[in-house]
Amino acid sequence: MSKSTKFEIELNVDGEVIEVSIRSHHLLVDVLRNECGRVCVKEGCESASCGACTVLIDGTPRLSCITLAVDAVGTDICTVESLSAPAGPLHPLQASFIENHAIQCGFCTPGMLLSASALLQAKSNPTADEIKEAICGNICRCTGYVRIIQSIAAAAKAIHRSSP
Amino acid sequence: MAFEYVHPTEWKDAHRLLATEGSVAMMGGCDVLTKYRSGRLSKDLVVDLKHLSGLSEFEVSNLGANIGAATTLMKLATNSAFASYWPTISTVASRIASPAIRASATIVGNIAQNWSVSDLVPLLEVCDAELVVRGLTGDRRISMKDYGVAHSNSTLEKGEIISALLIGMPEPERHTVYERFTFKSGFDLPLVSIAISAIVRIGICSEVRVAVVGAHDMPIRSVSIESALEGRAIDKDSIDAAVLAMSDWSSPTTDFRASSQYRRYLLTVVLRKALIRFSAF
Repeated sequence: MSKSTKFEIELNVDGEVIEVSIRSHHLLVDVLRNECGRVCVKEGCESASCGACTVLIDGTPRLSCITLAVDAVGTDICTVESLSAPAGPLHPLQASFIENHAIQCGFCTPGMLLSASALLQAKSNPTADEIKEAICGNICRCTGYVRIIQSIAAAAKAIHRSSP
Repeated sequence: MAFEYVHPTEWKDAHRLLATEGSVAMMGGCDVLTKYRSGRLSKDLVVDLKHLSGLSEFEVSNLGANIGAATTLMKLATNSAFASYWPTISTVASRIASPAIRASATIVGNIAQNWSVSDLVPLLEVCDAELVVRGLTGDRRISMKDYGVAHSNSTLEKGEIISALLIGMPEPERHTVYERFTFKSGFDLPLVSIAISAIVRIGICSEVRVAVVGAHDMPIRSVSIESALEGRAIDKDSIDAAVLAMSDWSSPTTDFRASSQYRRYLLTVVLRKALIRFSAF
Protein backbone atom coordinates (compact mmCIF):
# COMPACT_ATOMS: atom_id res chain seq x y z
CA MET A 1 0.00 0.00 0.00
CA SER A 2 1.52 3.31 -1.00
CA LYS A 3 -1.21 5.69 0.10
CA SER A 4 -3.79 5.53 2.83
CA THR A 5 -7.11 7.33 3.19
CA LYS A 6 -6.98 11.09 2.99
CA PHE A 7 -8.73 13.21 5.63
CA GLU A 8 -9.53 16.86 5.97
CA ILE A 9 -9.25 17.59 9.68
CA GLU A 10 -9.13 20.52 12.05
CA LEU A 11 -6.51 20.63 14.77
CA ASN A 12 -6.61 23.03 17.67
CA VAL A 13 -2.96 24.02 18.04
CA ASP A 14 -1.98 26.63 20.61
CA GLY A 15 -5.54 27.95 20.53
CA GLU A 16 -5.55 28.27 16.75
CA VAL A 17 -7.86 26.05 14.69
CA ILE A 18 -5.89 24.84 11.68
CA GLU A 19 -7.39 22.91 8.78
CA VAL A 20 -5.06 20.33 7.36
CA SER A 21 -5.21 17.59 4.78
CA ILE A 22 -3.60 14.41 6.04
CA ARG A 23 -3.47 10.68 5.47
CA SER A 24 -4.42 8.18 8.13
CA HIS A 25 -0.86 7.09 8.85
CA HIS A 26 0.47 10.60 9.38
CA LEU A 27 2.00 11.21 12.76
CA LEU A 28 1.20 14.29 14.77
CA VAL A 29 4.83 15.42 14.93
CA ASP A 30 5.03 15.64 11.13
CA VAL A 31 1.67 17.35 10.77
CA LEU A 32 2.54 19.93 13.43
CA ARG A 33 5.87 20.70 11.80
CA ASN A 34 4.97 20.47 8.13
CA GLU A 35 1.33 21.52 8.02
CA CYS A 36 0.89 23.71 11.10
CA GLY A 37 4.20 25.55 11.05
CA ARG A 38 5.19 24.39 14.51
CA VAL A 39 8.83 23.56 13.87
CA CYS A 40 9.38 24.08 17.58
CA VAL A 41 8.23 20.47 17.91
CA LYS A 42 11.43 18.49 17.45
CA GLU A 43 11.98 14.90 16.56
CA GLY A 44 15.13 13.31 17.85
CA CYS A 45 15.00 9.56 18.21
CA GLU A 46 12.03 8.36 16.15
CA SER A 47 11.54 5.67 18.79
CA ALA A 48 9.57 7.34 21.59
CA SER A 49 12.71 7.53 23.69
CA CYS A 50 13.96 11.12 23.74
CA GLY A 51 10.95 13.34 24.52
CA ALA A 52 11.96 16.07 22.04
CA CYS A 53 8.57 15.77 20.32
CA THR A 54 6.60 16.27 23.56
CA VAL A 55 3.43 18.33 23.24
CA LEU A 56 0.59 18.82 25.69
CA ILE A 57 -2.66 17.19 24.64
CA ASP A 58 -5.49 18.37 26.87
CA GLY A 59 -2.84 19.44 29.36
CA THR A 60 -1.03 16.09 29.51
CA PRO A 61 2.45 15.53 28.07
CA ARG A 62 2.29 13.19 25.08
CA LEU A 63 4.80 12.12 22.48
CA SER A 64 3.72 13.42 19.09
CA CYS A 65 5.94 10.84 17.35
CA ILE A 66 3.67 8.03 18.54
CA THR A 67 0.39 9.90 18.19
CA LEU A 68 -1.60 9.74 14.98
CA ALA A 69 -2.76 13.14 13.77
CA VAL A 70 -6.29 11.80 13.26
CA ASP A 71 -6.33 10.77 16.90
CA ALA A 72 -5.65 14.35 18.00
CA VAL A 73 -8.83 15.76 16.47
CA GLY A 74 -11.01 17.36 19.13
CA THR A 75 -8.17 17.86 21.59
CA ASP A 76 -6.29 20.96 22.68
CA ILE A 77 -2.71 20.65 21.47
CA CYS A 78 -0.14 22.93 23.04
CA THR A 79 3.36 23.34 21.71
CA VAL A 80 6.02 25.45 23.37
CA GLU A 81 4.72 28.41 21.34
CA SER A 82 1.70 28.49 23.65
CA LEU A 83 3.82 29.35 26.68
CA SER A 84 4.27 32.98 25.69
CA ALA A 85 3.19 35.35 22.93
CA PRO A 86 5.88 36.57 20.48
CA ALA A 87 5.67 40.15 21.71
CA GLY A 88 4.79 39.34 25.28
CA PRO A 89 6.89 38.48 28.32
CA LEU A 90 8.47 35.06 28.51
CA HIS A 91 6.85 32.35 30.58
CA PRO A 92 8.65 32.04 33.93
CA LEU A 93 9.99 28.65 32.83
CA GLN A 94 11.47 30.13 29.66
CA ALA A 95 12.95 33.04 31.60
CA SER A 96 14.38 30.68 34.19
CA PHE A 97 15.99 28.44 31.57
CA ILE A 98 17.77 31.50 30.16
CA GLU A 99 18.66 32.88 33.58
CA ASN A 100 20.11 29.57 34.76
CA HIS A 101 21.92 28.72 31.52
CA ALA A 102 19.83 25.60 31.00
CA ILE A 103 20.00 25.78 27.22
CA GLN A 104 22.93 24.84 25.07
CA CYS A 105 21.92 23.46 21.66
CA GLY A 106 18.25 23.90 22.55
CA PHE A 107 16.97 20.81 20.79
CA CYS A 108 15.47 19.27 23.93
CA THR A 109 14.25 22.60 25.31
CA PRO A 110 10.69 22.67 23.89
CA GLY A 111 9.97 19.20 25.26
CA MET A 112 11.64 20.00 28.57
CA LEU A 113 9.61 23.18 28.95
CA LEU A 114 6.32 21.44 28.21
CA SER A 115 7.01 18.55 30.59
CA ALA A 116 7.98 21.09 33.24
CA SER A 117 4.89 23.16 32.48
CA ALA A 118 2.62 20.16 33.05
CA LEU A 119 4.45 19.42 36.30
CA LEU A 120 4.00 22.96 37.61
CA GLN A 121 0.32 22.86 36.71
CA ALA A 122 -0.04 19.77 38.92
CA LYS A 123 2.45 20.68 41.67
CA SER A 124 3.25 24.27 42.45
CA ASN A 125 6.29 23.49 44.57
CA PRO A 126 7.82 20.25 43.30
CA THR A 127 10.75 18.54 44.95
CA ALA A 128 13.93 17.78 43.00
CA ASP A 129 12.86 14.14 42.76
CA GLU A 130 9.47 15.15 41.37
CA ILE A 131 11.19 17.35 38.79
CA LYS A 132 13.50 14.49 37.81
CA GLU A 133 10.52 12.17 37.46
CA ALA A 134 8.63 14.70 35.34
CA ILE A 135 11.48 15.11 32.86
CA CYS A 136 12.77 11.53 32.96
CA GLY A 137 11.50 10.99 29.43
CA ASN A 138 13.23 14.11 28.07
CA ILE A 139 16.79 13.44 27.11
CA CYS A 140 19.39 16.21 26.99
CA ARG A 141 22.75 15.44 25.46
CA CYS A 142 24.64 18.68 25.95
CA THR A 143 23.41 21.01 28.69
CA GLY A 144 23.18 18.36 31.38
CA TYR A 145 20.33 18.00 33.78
CA VAL A 146 21.54 19.93 36.83
CA ARG A 147 20.82 23.37 35.40
CA ILE A 148 17.54 22.23 33.89
CA ILE A 149 16.36 20.93 37.27
CA GLN A 150 17.54 24.15 38.94
CA SER A 151 15.66 26.19 36.33
CA ILE A 152 12.38 24.36 36.90
CA ALA A 153 12.70 24.73 40.67
CA ALA A 154 13.49 28.43 40.29
CA ALA A 155 10.54 28.93 37.94
CA ALA A 156 8.23 27.28 40.45
CA LYS A 157 9.41 29.73 43.09
CA ALA A 158 9.01 32.67 40.70
CA ILE A 159 5.46 31.63 39.84
CA HIS A 160 4.70 31.19 43.53
CA ARG A 161 6.10 34.66 44.34
CA SER A 162 4.05 36.31 41.61
CA SER A 163 0.80 34.57 42.59
CA PRO A 164 -1.66 36.81 44.42
CA MET B 1 5.31 2.46 3.88
CA ALA B 2 1.85 3.74 4.64
CA PHE B 3 -0.87 1.97 6.54
CA GLU B 4 -4.63 2.23 6.69
CA TYR B 5 -6.03 3.13 10.10
CA VAL B 6 -9.44 2.07 11.36
CA HIS B 7 -11.02 2.42 14.77
CA PRO B 8 -14.05 0.12 14.98
CA THR B 9 -16.65 0.63 17.68
CA GLU B 10 -18.37 -2.73 17.18
CA TRP B 11 -16.73 -5.94 18.37
CA LYS B 12 -17.79 -7.92 15.30
CA ASP B 13 -16.08 -5.36 13.06
CA ALA B 14 -12.93 -5.53 15.16
CA HIS B 15 -12.80 -9.34 14.94
CA ARG B 16 -13.37 -9.20 11.18
CA LEU B 17 -10.70 -6.57 10.66
CA LEU B 18 -8.16 -8.40 12.79
CA ALA B 19 -8.80 -11.58 10.83
CA THR B 20 -7.66 -9.70 7.71
CA GLU B 21 -4.20 -10.57 6.45
CA GLY B 22 -1.74 -7.77 7.23
CA SER B 23 -3.67 -6.31 10.15
CA VAL B 24 -2.34 -5.44 13.57
CA ALA B 25 -4.15 -4.40 16.76
CA MET B 26 -3.28 -1.09 18.37
CA MET B 27 -4.23 0.31 21.75
CA GLY B 28 -2.01 3.13 23.06
CA GLY B 29 0.17 3.03 19.95
CA CYS B 30 3.53 2.90 21.72
CA ASP B 31 4.56 -0.39 20.19
CA VAL B 32 2.86 -0.18 16.77
CA LEU B 33 3.73 3.42 15.96
CA THR B 34 7.31 3.08 17.17
CA LYS B 35 7.70 0.12 14.83
CA TYR B 36 6.14 2.15 12.03
CA ARG B 37 8.41 5.12 12.62
CA SER B 38 11.51 2.98 12.53
CA GLY B 39 10.38 1.15 9.38
CA ARG B 40 9.80 -2.16 11.17
CA LEU B 41 6.00 -2.33 10.83
CA SER B 42 5.22 -4.97 8.26
CA LYS B 43 1.43 -4.55 8.51
CA ASP B 44 -0.70 -2.28 6.34
CA LEU B 45 -3.89 -2.19 8.41
CA VAL B 46 -3.78 -0.77 11.94
CA VAL B 47 -6.91 -1.59 13.93
CA ASP B 48 -7.30 0.78 16.86
CA LEU B 49 -9.27 -1.05 19.55
CA LYS B 50 -9.62 1.58 22.24
CA HIS B 51 -13.06 2.73 21.04
CA LEU B 52 -14.67 -0.68 21.57
CA SER B 53 -17.37 -0.76 24.22
CA GLY B 54 -16.22 -1.71 27.69
CA LEU B 55 -12.53 -1.30 27.10
CA SER B 56 -12.30 1.96 28.99
CA GLU B 57 -13.99 0.59 32.11
CA PHE B 58 -11.92 0.52 35.27
CA GLU B 59 -13.61 -0.62 38.42
CA VAL B 60 -12.37 -1.54 41.87
CA SER B 61 -14.95 -3.45 43.90
CA ASN B 62 -14.95 -5.94 46.75
CA LEU B 63 -14.35 -8.65 44.13
CA GLY B 64 -11.17 -7.06 42.88
CA ALA B 65 -10.09 -4.85 40.00
CA ASN B 66 -11.60 -5.03 36.53
CA ILE B 67 -9.24 -3.10 34.30
CA GLY B 68 -10.47 -2.48 30.78
CA ALA B 69 -7.87 -3.03 28.09
CA ALA B 70 -7.79 0.65 27.13
CA THR B 71 -6.85 1.76 30.66
CA THR B 72 -3.64 3.71 30.50
CA LEU B 73 -0.76 3.28 32.90
CA MET B 74 -1.37 6.85 34.04
CA LYS B 75 -5.01 6.14 34.86
CA LEU B 76 -4.03 3.01 36.76
CA ALA B 77 -1.23 4.72 38.67
CA THR B 78 -3.39 7.66 39.76
CA ASN B 79 -6.39 5.65 40.98
CA SER B 80 -6.38 5.90 44.77
CA ALA B 81 -8.83 3.00 45.31
CA PHE B 82 -6.58 0.73 43.26
CA ALA B 83 -3.49 1.94 45.12
CA SER B 84 -5.08 1.13 48.47
CA TYR B 85 -5.38 -2.59 47.60
CA TRP B 86 -2.43 -3.02 45.24
CA PRO B 87 0.12 -0.43 46.36
CA THR B 88 3.08 -2.22 44.79
CA ILE B 89 1.48 -2.46 41.34
CA SER B 90 0.36 1.17 41.58
CA THR B 91 3.85 2.36 42.51
CA VAL B 92 5.53 0.33 39.80
CA ALA B 93 3.01 1.53 37.19
CA SER B 94 3.74 5.11 38.21
CA ARG B 95 7.44 4.63 37.44
CA ILE B 96 7.30 2.83 34.11
CA ALA B 97 8.87 4.77 31.23
CA SER B 98 8.00 8.48 31.36
CA PRO B 99 4.88 10.57 32.08
CA ALA B 100 4.30 11.14 28.36
CA ILE B 101 4.44 7.43 27.60
CA ARG B 102 2.30 6.50 30.60
CA ALA B 103 -0.38 8.86 29.28
CA SER B 104 -0.60 6.81 26.07
CA ALA B 105 0.49 3.31 27.02
CA THR B 106 -2.11 0.88 28.26
CA ILE B 107 -1.54 -1.78 30.87
CA VAL B 108 -2.89 -4.47 28.57
CA GLY B 109 -0.77 -3.22 25.68
CA ASN B 110 2.20 -3.50 28.00
CA ILE B 111 1.30 -7.13 28.58
CA ALA B 112 0.23 -7.95 25.03
CA GLN B 113 3.49 -6.87 23.43
CA ASN B 114 4.87 -9.90 25.25
CA TRP B 115 8.41 -8.76 25.77
CA SER B 116 10.98 -10.83 27.57
CA VAL B 117 11.39 -8.01 30.10
CA SER B 118 8.59 -6.24 31.87
CA ASP B 119 7.91 -4.59 35.19
CA LEU B 120 4.22 -5.35 35.34
CA VAL B 121 4.07 -8.94 34.12
CA PRO B 122 5.92 -10.53 37.07
CA LEU B 123 3.82 -8.51 39.50
CA LEU B 124 0.60 -9.55 37.81
CA GLU B 125 1.77 -13.15 37.82
CA VAL B 126 2.24 -13.15 41.60
CA CYS B 127 -1.12 -11.41 42.04
CA ASP B 128 -2.76 -14.28 40.13
CA ALA B 129 -4.18 -11.85 37.58
CA GLU B 130 -6.15 -13.07 34.59
CA LEU B 131 -6.74 -11.72 31.11
CA VAL B 132 -10.26 -11.74 29.70
CA VAL B 133 -10.03 -12.61 26.04
CA ARG B 134 -12.91 -12.12 23.63
CA GLY B 135 -13.11 -14.24 20.50
CA LEU B 136 -15.82 -14.80 17.91
CA THR B 137 -17.27 -17.62 20.00
CA GLY B 138 -17.25 -15.82 23.34
CA ASP B 139 -15.00 -14.91 26.25
CA ARG B 140 -12.34 -17.01 27.92
CA ARG B 141 -9.80 -16.30 30.63
CA ILE B 142 -6.05 -16.76 30.49
CA SER B 143 -3.97 -16.72 33.65
CA MET B 144 -1.14 -14.22 33.44
CA LYS B 145 1.34 -17.01 34.20
CA ASP B 146 0.20 -18.88 31.09
CA TYR B 147 -0.01 -15.93 28.68
CA GLY B 148 3.54 -15.45 27.42
CA VAL B 149 5.01 -18.44 25.65
CA ALA B 150 8.06 -16.81 24.12
CA HIS B 151 9.10 -13.36 22.96
CA SER B 152 6.22 -11.96 20.84
CA ASN B 153 4.46 -15.34 21.05
CA SER B 154 1.48 -15.72 23.35
CA THR B 155 -1.43 -18.09 23.91
CA LEU B 156 -3.71 -15.54 22.25
CA GLU B 157 -5.38 -17.08 19.20
CA LYS B 158 -5.91 -15.41 15.83
CA GLY B 159 -8.74 -12.87 15.98
CA GLU B 160 -8.92 -12.86 19.79
CA ILE B 161 -8.83 -9.54 21.59
CA ILE B 162 -7.82 -8.96 25.21
CA SER B 163 -10.74 -7.05 26.69
CA ALA B 164 -9.74 -6.71 30.33
CA LEU B 165 -7.34 -7.58 33.09
CA LEU B 166 -8.81 -9.00 36.30
CA ILE B 167 -7.03 -8.94 39.64
CA GLY B 168 -8.78 -10.70 42.49
CA MET B 169 -8.97 -8.99 45.87
CA PRO B 170 -5.83 -9.90 47.81
CA GLU B 171 -6.29 -12.11 50.86
CA PRO B 172 -5.82 -10.44 54.26
CA GLU B 173 -2.18 -10.47 55.31
CA ARG B 174 -0.92 -10.98 51.75
CA HIS B 175 2.06 -8.77 51.04
CA THR B 176 3.93 -8.10 47.83
CA VAL B 177 7.33 -6.62 47.07
CA TYR B 178 9.03 -5.87 43.78
CA GLU B 179 12.73 -5.35 43.25
CA ARG B 180 14.42 -4.50 39.97
CA PHE B 181 17.85 -3.73 38.60
CA THR B 182 18.32 -1.25 35.79
CA PHE B 183 21.40 0.45 34.41
CA LYS B 184 19.82 3.88 34.95
CA SER B 185 17.30 4.97 37.51
CA GLY B 186 14.69 6.46 35.20
CA PHE B 187 13.05 5.28 31.98
CA ASP B 188 14.75 1.93 31.58
CA LEU B 189 13.63 -1.65 31.28
CA PRO B 190 14.78 -3.98 34.05
CA LEU B 191 17.76 -6.17 33.37
CA VAL B 192 16.43 -8.49 36.03
CA SER B 193 13.54 -8.12 38.43
CA ILE B 194 11.73 -10.18 41.05
CA ALA B 195 8.19 -10.02 42.42
CA ILE B 196 7.39 -11.84 45.66
CA SER B 197 3.95 -12.24 47.15
CA ALA B 198 2.94 -14.32 50.18
CA ILE B 199 0.52 -14.46 53.06
CA VAL B 200 2.40 -13.75 56.29
CA ARG B 201 0.85 -14.95 59.55
CA ILE B 202 2.84 -14.82 62.77
CA GLY B 203 5.97 -14.38 60.73
CA ILE B 204 5.42 -17.51 58.60
CA CYS B 205 4.95 -17.33 54.82
CA SER B 206 2.35 -19.35 52.98
CA GLU B 207 1.01 -19.44 49.45
CA VAL B 208 4.28 -17.97 48.28
CA ARG B 209 4.49 -16.76 44.70
CA VAL B 210 7.73 -15.65 43.09
CA ALA B 211 8.02 -14.40 39.51
CA VAL B 212 11.30 -13.51 37.89
CA VAL B 213 12.40 -11.45 34.89
CA GLY B 214 15.77 -12.28 33.38
CA ALA B 215 16.14 -15.86 34.59
CA HIS B 216 14.64 -17.43 31.48
CA ASP B 217 13.33 -16.22 28.10
CA MET B 218 10.14 -14.77 29.57
CA PRO B 219 8.94 -13.51 32.97
CA ILE B 220 8.11 -16.73 34.79
CA ARG B 221 7.05 -18.10 38.17
CA SER B 222 9.69 -20.15 39.96
CA VAL B 223 8.25 -23.16 41.77
CA SER B 224 11.63 -24.04 43.24
CA ILE B 225 12.12 -20.64 44.89
CA GLU B 226 8.51 -20.66 46.08
CA SER B 227 9.06 -24.12 47.64
CA ALA B 228 12.22 -22.89 49.36
CA LEU B 229 10.18 -20.20 51.13
CA GLU B 230 6.83 -21.93 51.71
CA GLY B 231 5.96 -22.43 55.38
CA ARG B 232 9.06 -20.61 56.59
CA ALA B 233 9.92 -17.29 58.17
CA ILE B 234 12.04 -14.97 56.07
CA ASP B 235 15.36 -15.22 57.86
CA LYS B 236 18.98 -15.87 56.97
CA ASP B 237 18.44 -19.60 56.43
CA SER B 238 15.39 -19.27 54.20
CA ILE B 239 16.99 -16.43 52.22
CA ASP B 240 20.08 -18.58 51.65
CA ALA B 241 17.87 -21.48 50.56
CA ALA B 242 15.95 -19.27 48.14
CA VAL B 243 19.17 -17.83 46.70
CA LEU B 244 20.54 -21.35 46.21
CA ALA B 245 17.29 -22.33 44.46
CA MET B 246 17.64 -19.29 42.20
CA SER B 247 21.20 -20.28 41.27
CA ASP B 248 20.05 -23.79 40.34
CA TRP B 249 16.89 -22.74 38.52
CA SER B 250 17.94 -19.67 36.56
CA SER B 251 19.29 -20.00 33.05
CA PRO B 252 19.67 -16.45 31.75
CA THR B 253 20.48 -15.54 28.21
CA THR B 254 23.46 -13.53 26.97
CA ASP B 255 22.68 -10.49 24.86
CA PHE B 256 23.91 -6.96 24.20
CA ARG B 257 22.82 -5.81 27.66
CA ALA B 258 24.57 -8.41 29.80
CA SER B 259 26.11 -11.85 29.88
CA SER B 260 24.35 -14.89 31.25
CA GLN B 261 26.86 -15.12 34.12
CA TYR B 262 26.31 -11.49 35.08
CA ARG B 263 22.53 -11.90 35.05
CA ARG B 264 22.68 -15.10 37.10
CA TYR B 265 24.76 -13.41 39.79
CA LEU B 266 22.59 -10.30 39.70
CA LEU B 267 19.46 -12.40 40.19
CA THR B 268 20.80 -13.72 43.49
CA VAL B 269 21.62 -10.18 44.65
CA VAL B 270 18.21 -8.81 43.69
CA LEU B 271 16.42 -11.80 45.26
CA ARG B 272 18.30 -11.28 48.51
CA LYS B 273 17.37 -7.58 48.50
CA ALA B 274 13.73 -8.38 47.79
CA LEU B 275 13.57 -10.95 50.58
CA ILE B 276 15.21 -8.61 53.08
CA ARG B 277 12.53 -6.06 52.24
CA PHE B 278 9.85 -8.74 52.51
CA SER B 279 11.10 -9.76 55.97
CA ALA B 280 9.74 -6.47 57.31
CA PHE B 281 6.18 -7.87 57.08
